[in-house]
Amino acid sequence: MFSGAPFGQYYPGESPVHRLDPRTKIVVTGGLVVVLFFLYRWPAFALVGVLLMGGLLVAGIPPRLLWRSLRSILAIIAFTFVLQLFMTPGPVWFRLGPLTATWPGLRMGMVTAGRLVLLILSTSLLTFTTSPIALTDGLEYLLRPLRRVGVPAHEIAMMMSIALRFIPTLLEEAEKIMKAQMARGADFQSGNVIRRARSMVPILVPLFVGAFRRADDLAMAMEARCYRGGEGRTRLRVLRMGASDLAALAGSAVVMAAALVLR
Amino acid sequence: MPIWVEDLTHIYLPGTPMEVVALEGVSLEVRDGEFLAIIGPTGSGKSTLIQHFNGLLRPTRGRVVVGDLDLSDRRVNLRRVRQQVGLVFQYPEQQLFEETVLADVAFGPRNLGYPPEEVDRRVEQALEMVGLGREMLERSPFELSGGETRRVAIAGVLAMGPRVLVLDEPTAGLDPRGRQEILSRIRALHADYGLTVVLVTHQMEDVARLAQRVAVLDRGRLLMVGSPREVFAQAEMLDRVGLGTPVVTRVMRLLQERGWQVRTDVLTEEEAEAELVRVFGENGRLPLRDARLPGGTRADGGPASGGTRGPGGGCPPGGGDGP
Ligand SMILES: Nc1ncnc2c1ncn2[C@@H]1O[C@H](COP(=O)(O)OP(=O)(O)OP(=O)(O)O)[C@@H](O)[C@H]1O
Ligand SMILES: [Mg+2]
Repeated sequence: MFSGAPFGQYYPGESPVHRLDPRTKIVVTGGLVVVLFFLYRWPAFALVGVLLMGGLLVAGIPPRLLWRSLRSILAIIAFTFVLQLFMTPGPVWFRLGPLTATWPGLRMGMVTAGRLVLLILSTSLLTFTTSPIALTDGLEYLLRPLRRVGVPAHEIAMMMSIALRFIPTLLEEAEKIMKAQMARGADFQSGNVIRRARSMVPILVPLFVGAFRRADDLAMAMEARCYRGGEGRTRLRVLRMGASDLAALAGSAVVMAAALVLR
Repeated sequence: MPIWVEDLTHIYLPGTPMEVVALEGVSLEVRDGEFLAIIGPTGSGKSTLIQHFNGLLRPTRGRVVVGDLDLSDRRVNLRRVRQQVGLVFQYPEQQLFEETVLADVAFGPRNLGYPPEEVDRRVEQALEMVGLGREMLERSPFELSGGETRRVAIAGVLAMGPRVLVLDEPTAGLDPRGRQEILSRIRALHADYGLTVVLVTHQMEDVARLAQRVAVLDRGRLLMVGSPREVFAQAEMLDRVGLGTPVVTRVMRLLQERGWQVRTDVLTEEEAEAELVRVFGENGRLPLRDARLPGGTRADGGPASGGTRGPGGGCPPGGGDGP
């Protein structure tokens, strides 16, 4: 039940996208995120959108899951859209009381919304197709050159993978504690903000007590198995770039370059 | 207060790759005033089942009726159901959060909105029910012994005044004395306070000793329900699902296989002793007094302890000590 815990969004599969080296996917996603912020014309958006849709299609991610991750930021998208619509100066489109919606505002709002949607799609493609372990592995490799300037690449990756490993455990624990307090008549839904915040105490205290105990146990168990940090540590999974990685990198680079030209 | 479970199916995370069918078509009745044990191997759905008894989980299919309340009715006041059906989770001491025993046990009755005097009365009664005295009230729940903390946690549920008490492996992780304390308290809650008790356990001895009826779950299905004697008569079935029977029952079976004419439907040590006296004492094949083992001590002291350590005592040299 632990491996199956619904953390984040990893959607297990065997597609070519799943099999890509995590570094490839991290680099491409990182590149896309940067590129997105330079785009404001439709053809450019469409180009990036087609690339992402192609990736999602090949990866076999059900649209339902995509919709779920988009839905979580729908409110933010709507908020920024409305903000842009009314706050951008320019020729008036319509008035609403003291507020004026402008044509440039409409355009800016749509551009921002488009950027956000594509942003979510690209990070989703990464997290849907890359297991948390592969993700931290890839990150550790990518951070490695920065060790010279004092970035503790291994430690950062280890912290991330421990955190990732324990998020499902903590969620499970939180759910269990919550149920146990509900069995004692606790109510987490009703009341005003202060009441609700206070109703969290019976969950948070046991959760923290448990987390600290678990951290102690983990440290002990790691030391008992001779963990001493990254120095001299060899790897079980050695990452290797293959032909498909090169192809994916080259292909994405071309699309991103084209998008930047079209802007 | 009886509980009816009708054709209950529960699926966790339906529609995802992680989907788990935890219960499938389970129908079961918890009778008013009875002591029911629920047994089943790990992952068989015991905890899932009992969380339906007070509406913490909702059925994917099927129905749960508690007294005259149908839990599938959205208008049912679940807090009322949870007051009537007290649920003690596994390792309940992990939910303690207040600074004093008093405050923690009072959490339930306060949530139910009782006035302060009534809350105090209930807290004291609940502690008494689990055999803890007033001197506990002001202590921190984090400084008590394992068995004591667990009794405090059980008191926290009893303080709500439930008619049905459901316990999920209440003796897990306790030493033998702690276990005996908890079990004798649970027995008293049933016998003296008239609570309906549902006990989830892996200990067949406890089932044999305490339960009036037993329900056996395996991979989400209800295999059988019956008296302990009826259930433990199905030794092959229990062995197959990995549960086994009480040790004394097994001993009697082995004796029978060796050709002794003993009953094999004994459940407790007392019954086994009586049966052995009947068989061996009567026909005098073994003078019982001499055959008796020295009470409970083992000459060889069990497997060797101490002295042996895992391979190598230290970590390999090199690396680690860093710049
Ligand atoms: N919150 C949950 N989310 C997903 N799956 C779950 C959840 N809780 C339980 N399961 C799964 O449902 C099945 C039944 O679990 P359950 O906890 O009811 O078993 P159990 O009989 O209580 O086992 P144990 O003896 O280990 O306590 C298991 O396969 C388990 O992995
Ligand atoms: Mg369980």
